[in-house]
Amino acid sequence: MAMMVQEPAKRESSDFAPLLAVNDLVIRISIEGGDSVTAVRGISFSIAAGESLALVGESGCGKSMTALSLTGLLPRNGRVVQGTAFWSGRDLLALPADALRRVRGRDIGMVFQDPTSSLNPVLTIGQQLTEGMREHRRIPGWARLAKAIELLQLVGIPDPETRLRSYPHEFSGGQRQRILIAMAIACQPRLLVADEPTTALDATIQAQIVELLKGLQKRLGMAILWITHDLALVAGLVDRVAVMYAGLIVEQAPVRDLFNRPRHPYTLGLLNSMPQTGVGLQATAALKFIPGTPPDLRATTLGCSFAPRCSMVLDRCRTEQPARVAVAAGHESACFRAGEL
Amino acid sequence: MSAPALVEARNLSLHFKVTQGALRRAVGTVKAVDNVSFDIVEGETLGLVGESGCGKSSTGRVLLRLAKPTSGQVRFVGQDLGRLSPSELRRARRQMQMIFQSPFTSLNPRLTVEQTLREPLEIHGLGSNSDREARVQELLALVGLDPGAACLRPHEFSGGQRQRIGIARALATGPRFVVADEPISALDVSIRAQIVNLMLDLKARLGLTYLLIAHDLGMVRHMSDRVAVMYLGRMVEIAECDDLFDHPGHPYTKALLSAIPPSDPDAARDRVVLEGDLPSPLNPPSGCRFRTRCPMATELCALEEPLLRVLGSGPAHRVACHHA
Repeated sequence: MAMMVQEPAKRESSDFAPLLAVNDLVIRISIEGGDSVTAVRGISFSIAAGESLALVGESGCGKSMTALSLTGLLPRNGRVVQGTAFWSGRDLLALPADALRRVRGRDIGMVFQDPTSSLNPVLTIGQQLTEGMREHRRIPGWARLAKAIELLQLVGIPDPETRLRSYPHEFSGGQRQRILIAMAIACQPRLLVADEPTTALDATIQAQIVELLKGLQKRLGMAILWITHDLALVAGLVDRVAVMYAGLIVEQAPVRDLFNRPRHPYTLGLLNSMPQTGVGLQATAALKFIPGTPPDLRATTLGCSFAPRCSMVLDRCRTEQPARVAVAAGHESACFRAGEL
Repeated sequence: MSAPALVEARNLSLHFKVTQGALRRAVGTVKAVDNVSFDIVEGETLGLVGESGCGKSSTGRVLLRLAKPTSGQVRFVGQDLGRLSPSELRRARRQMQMIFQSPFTSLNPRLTVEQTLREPLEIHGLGSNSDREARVQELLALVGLDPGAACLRPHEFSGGQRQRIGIARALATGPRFVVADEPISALDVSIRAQIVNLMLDLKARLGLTYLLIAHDLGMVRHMSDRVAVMYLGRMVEIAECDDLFDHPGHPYTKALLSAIPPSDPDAARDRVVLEGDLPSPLNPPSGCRFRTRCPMATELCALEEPLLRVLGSGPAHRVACHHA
């Protein structure tokens, strides 16, 4: 199978020592009939301590697989076939299961999309909150309980002493997500991986959870990797954004630069297709849109996978995969025509 | 408003009994829609927004009489749908159709696109066999699908194309009024704008009237002429679209609008982040149902339920709040 693998992006290492550095990650998923698709096709990114990075893309772009691979939670049919993910001098992707288990849940916390299926229905919240501390930190029982109460207070669950004895079904969706956040930060992780943490929630509850995570990040000084399909959500939220399309990071930039001057036609198309909602703005007659549909990953692509939908396509784009190169300070784009944008 | 109303909802309620145990003992009533009145004028798009469980989808279903209202009436072109005989109701239904949220579950996987699009024509006895064949082709062209799509089945299409089929099916009988229940929320982000543009284009070409049920407020603003906001079964505000977005009167509307993520990283704004969760619909608060989360709530709000009343900025803007 001819596969285009992206050159790892060069980064000035003097800027910061990354907390996590992912290099040239390739993930393959086997599907029915013995075939496999390459869900992630060689991506590189890093996160500094205390930084927030958003991995943005549509369903099937590989963003969730990337997040799952970092914590060794890929589904059975998924496999990392190439790449490294360095964390404190160790490659997470090469760690044996028990060593990875010590990192996961302690140094790296995780919050997932669906708060209902992520909690065990037959255990109380207190039991589930203290489980991580029992596993990862040698904290005596009485202190664990006090810590659990403190955590529930931190995430805004009223009356935490009594609620510790409640079961998941006794909480609302927003409260369950708060509890999962409390579990994820129980061992004071240095990185929180948040995979669509607000997608299953209502608008006003979504705003609550976003504010909560922002506040916790500041307070605890942890880095956050946000995985989301919603470019609008990240505008006021993160430091940097990496945009994924069909298994590749096509653009990566500080959040302001990305919104003010997107340098990849896909990012530009996504931003243009968002209706403007600011006060006083008049709705225009028709939205700009990206024609066509996201590619079928089963088909092998030669060249840029966005080429069939791109308004700026060149002949070259159909045969050659553009490498991700720096177009401005901290701003990288995988497009031959990035200079014209 | 001078134009005649196409759809009129009068004191509309839809209640569900909640039962428990083997004896199905009634333990309470959920008032999914509770005493709601509004008009939809021919040719307009009324956006209906609110969080899950607020009754917006139930309202849409009652308008089409897919659910029988517990009380109140729906008038379509002046006739009370509750007084129609079954055959008259079927006739009326040609004129009012629905676009569903999920293009994955709302199409029968065993039927070809042609069979799917012919079904409404057959049910309503419209046209001869060859008319129907021509109509299928006409519908495919209308929603931007190839003529060859007729003989394919749903799994051969992408999500966006499937939603086009769902829209074509809704239009098959030539309706005047279409209820679109979250028509884009199940689609990929880069596809949504295509479907929004298609719906606006069809509205202009066919003179459709839409009830757009959605939680994506950006899209609602883009597509609607007027917007109504619901909270726990009650309508709390209704206004011209720009008026509602620029001058929201109800504290809940303000919070809902402020929950829209900013489209600009530099946009500094005062976010109204609500405390607490939606109360249980089984046991809604007394008085104003929003008072438990409202920053402006007073004693009066617990005692007396506010009714929709006209707000200063024009007769079309109505708000149900004591303090607006």
